[in-house]
Amino acid sequence: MFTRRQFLKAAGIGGLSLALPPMVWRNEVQAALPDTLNYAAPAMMPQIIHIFLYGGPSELAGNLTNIEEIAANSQNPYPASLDPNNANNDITANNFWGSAGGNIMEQLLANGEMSLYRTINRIKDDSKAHGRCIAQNLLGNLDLSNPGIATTLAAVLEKFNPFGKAVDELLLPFVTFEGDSRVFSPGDLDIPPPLRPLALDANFNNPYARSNNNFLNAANDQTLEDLAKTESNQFPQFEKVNNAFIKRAELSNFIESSFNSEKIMADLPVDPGTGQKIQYPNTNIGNRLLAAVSLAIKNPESFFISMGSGGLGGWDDHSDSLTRYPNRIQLLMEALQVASRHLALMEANNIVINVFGDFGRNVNVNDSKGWDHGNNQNLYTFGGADIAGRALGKLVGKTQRIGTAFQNRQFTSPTNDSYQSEPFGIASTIFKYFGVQNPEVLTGEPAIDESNNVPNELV
Amino acid sequence: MINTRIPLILILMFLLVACGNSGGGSGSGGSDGSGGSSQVEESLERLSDEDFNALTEEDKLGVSNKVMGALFKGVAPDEFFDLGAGVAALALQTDENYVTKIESDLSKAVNENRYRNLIKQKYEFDEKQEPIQYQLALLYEVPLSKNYFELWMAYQLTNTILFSPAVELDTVAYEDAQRVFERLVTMIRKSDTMREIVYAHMISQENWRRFRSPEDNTREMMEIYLKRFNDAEVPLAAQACKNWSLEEQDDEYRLIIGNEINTEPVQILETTLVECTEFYRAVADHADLIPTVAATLVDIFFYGYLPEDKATIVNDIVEDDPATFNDIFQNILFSKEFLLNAERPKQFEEVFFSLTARLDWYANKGFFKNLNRVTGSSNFPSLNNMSQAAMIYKLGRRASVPLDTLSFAFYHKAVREKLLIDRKGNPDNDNDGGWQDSFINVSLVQDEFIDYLFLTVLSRNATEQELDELNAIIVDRGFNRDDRKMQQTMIVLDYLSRLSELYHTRPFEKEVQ
Repeated sequence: MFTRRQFLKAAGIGGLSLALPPMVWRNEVQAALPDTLNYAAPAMMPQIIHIFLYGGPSELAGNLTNIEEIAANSQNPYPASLDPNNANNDITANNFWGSAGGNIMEQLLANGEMSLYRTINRIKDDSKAHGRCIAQNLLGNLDLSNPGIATTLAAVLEKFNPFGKAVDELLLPFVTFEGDSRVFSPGDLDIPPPLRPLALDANFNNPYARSNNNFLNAANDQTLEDLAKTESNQFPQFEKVNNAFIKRAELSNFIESSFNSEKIMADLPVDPGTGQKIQYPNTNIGNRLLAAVSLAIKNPESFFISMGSGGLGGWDDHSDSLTRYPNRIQLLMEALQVASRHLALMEANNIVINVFGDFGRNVNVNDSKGWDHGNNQNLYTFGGADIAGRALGKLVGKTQRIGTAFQNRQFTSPTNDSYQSEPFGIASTIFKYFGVQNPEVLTGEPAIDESNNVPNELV
Repeated sequence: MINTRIPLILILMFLLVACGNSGGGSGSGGSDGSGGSSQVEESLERLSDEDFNALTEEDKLGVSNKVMGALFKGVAPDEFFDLGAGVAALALQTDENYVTKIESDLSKAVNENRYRNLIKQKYEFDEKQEPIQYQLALLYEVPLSKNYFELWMAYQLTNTILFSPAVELDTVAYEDAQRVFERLVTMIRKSDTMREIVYAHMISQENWRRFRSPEDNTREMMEIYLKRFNDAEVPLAAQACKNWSLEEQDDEYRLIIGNEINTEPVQILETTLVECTEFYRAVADHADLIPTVAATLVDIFFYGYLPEDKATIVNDIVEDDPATFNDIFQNILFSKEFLLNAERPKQFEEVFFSLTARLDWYANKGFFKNLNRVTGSSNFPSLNNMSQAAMIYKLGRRASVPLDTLSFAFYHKAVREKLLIDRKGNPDNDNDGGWQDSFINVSLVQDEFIDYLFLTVLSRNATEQELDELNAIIVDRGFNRDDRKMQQTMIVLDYLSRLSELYHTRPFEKEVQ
């Protein structure tokens, strides 16, 4: 097992810092946050793995409570396996879609490794447009001019510095496995360079390494590098490219020394239950989760790790959904189950994995055998058991079917007595974990209520 | 929540370097998208001969390569200048405004089939993915011409939200990309209007494989072509298209148009309509179509401009009453605003293929196959790894070039390792690509040779510091001989690959008289 000290030593870095004086940006960032922000450093620094399912996943895998009525009113049929009256149905005790990840959800809930919120419901700015919903959910705010969740978090952390060290000494605090994302959108906020996202390849490729130029020796190469940096500094407006060049060598060293496939696989824990090392599924999402969870465990200073689902098309099930969606979410849950086990075996109880998307979906099966866009979605949240105020093993929210029978626009919607949250509550919850006492001043929404005041519907 | 303010760090850096930036300009462009501060200066007024002649000789090359780069082509300094007198006092090959020459070239037809046949012989593609790999080979081989411009416009459009085939979707086949591209080429070639082209695209099976149900398709058509985001209209539009659907048949998704045609009139898009084709016609004929198409393209070519400045440009385009895509693209590319002021990150093709033309670069047999391969994980600097894959994304490429550290690492790797420090060592081997020795076969030596390399890649001479340090390395390596130009080139080009200015367009100022 790689210890934290060994990890940093092997990486050859104590922080991926830029040679820029911290005081230059500090005042700017501090002034940019609301004066009313209340902050108290958390007892334990959390880490967030943020998985956004682009396209808008259906809520049905985690919520078949209304399926009988849904099926009875749908323009096109649901399979008999989703008929509650069918003795051999595919519906679990808590009304999950068994073969669509539902059986795994039951295990994770029973083990206290996950909570599921069934009523993340968009009421404000009732839009079902991808672009707007993705942007707002990843900004954690209705106002599209705002910075992304990760950027706002970076500003908060920079202002209140709960780390006990300068932020430019942090190692990879913000990481993306999906490249550019609105979650890192700068808005009008000039985030300190050390807190800007660095991108890693989930397949452990290292494009940061340069092939040798046989006509240069190492000293010549360094001279070229320094000269290029000097010249490029004359173009501060090319900040992203300049930054990418500055980070290149450090990231290359980091990957070669610490974050390559061989080392990551060697560090996977043995599951006492099987006597074997845990094994992530060799799927797109499985490989990404392996990379993200391994990074989070190895490096407690990676506070926010972003993962996309690999393309907008993935969860946008307008057609043929009954045959394609179940397997896709099954693969997702299989990977998340291994990730949960990984976190548990490593006792990494400060790491939270959140999974949600643009929105939920319509529940009528349309004539293309798919589901169009809806407002109500699920939040699947894993791990982080040691974070104050966070409860796992909860199944929250009650729904009803709404809409006209045999017409397309039929949805699940929270019942009048159900708990519900706008999707921006997810951002508030993240800010709360990191010590923001009144996250609503950042998002316009309170944090999701994880207390026992909210009924747990788990049976 | 968070106030707008000019980052203090930028102010300090500007103060530190204000006097040393020869590329500085006063345009509205914000390069990385940080936003500019001034208003559009020239809007879409054409660059005149007078404007061109007022530029320095270096900047005449720079402006020419700005438009050539946008077209994925390039002009080399030995083609642009008479280098017989060296680079100290650059002399133009001709007094002609080169930008005007480019525009003129775009009206001349060539025998395109000749190049299509050549591609079949010269390159290999993936059996399945050829339909998305072929287009860049075609653009690489076909010279600047009317045919080329039509192909280029179609390629640009298939990478926008307007016409992306969205190969990433399960329902879309690779062949759909080819069909969308070729339909665009055919219709652009016939001078069909934008409205006709948009209509033909909307009713196509390819479009329905991308947006796959009545709600999905009609919503997206209103959003994409009209920037109309009104959820209440979607069910009405969907009602008009209720007999259209996408169904899987024989492992292929097909657009099915059923017999249960809507009969109930719906009020939408400021008109009354009943059937699905009427909906699409209403979108295509809508007053917001042309401004929306223009805005989509302005977002790309003027990326980083303030929203109000982009709106001014869009208004200017619309005022000219453009009917064809050709009208809009030409308006943008040959405008003073674009040529003199725009400063933004370049797409990969703008950097790479513009340089290939200037460096006599040779594409190896498998280059285009590897460049736009979208499956599997690899360390090859493919467009996919740069997050700039062609014709893949459901919503097209973003207007902003992805410059996260990983995407840019692949971008830089491609420019450096597949082009600038990749010399074709074996002229007889088709699998060996790279720049060819003809590129450095010029009668310039020492500092002038280094300046020639800089002019080729950056359209500027080297600074004193650059000359000093590069010469020091060349001496250190023992390459300071006139018969060591290849080695000198490998050192200088490696350096140039590391400059952020290579990956951005820059503004140009008129020469002070």
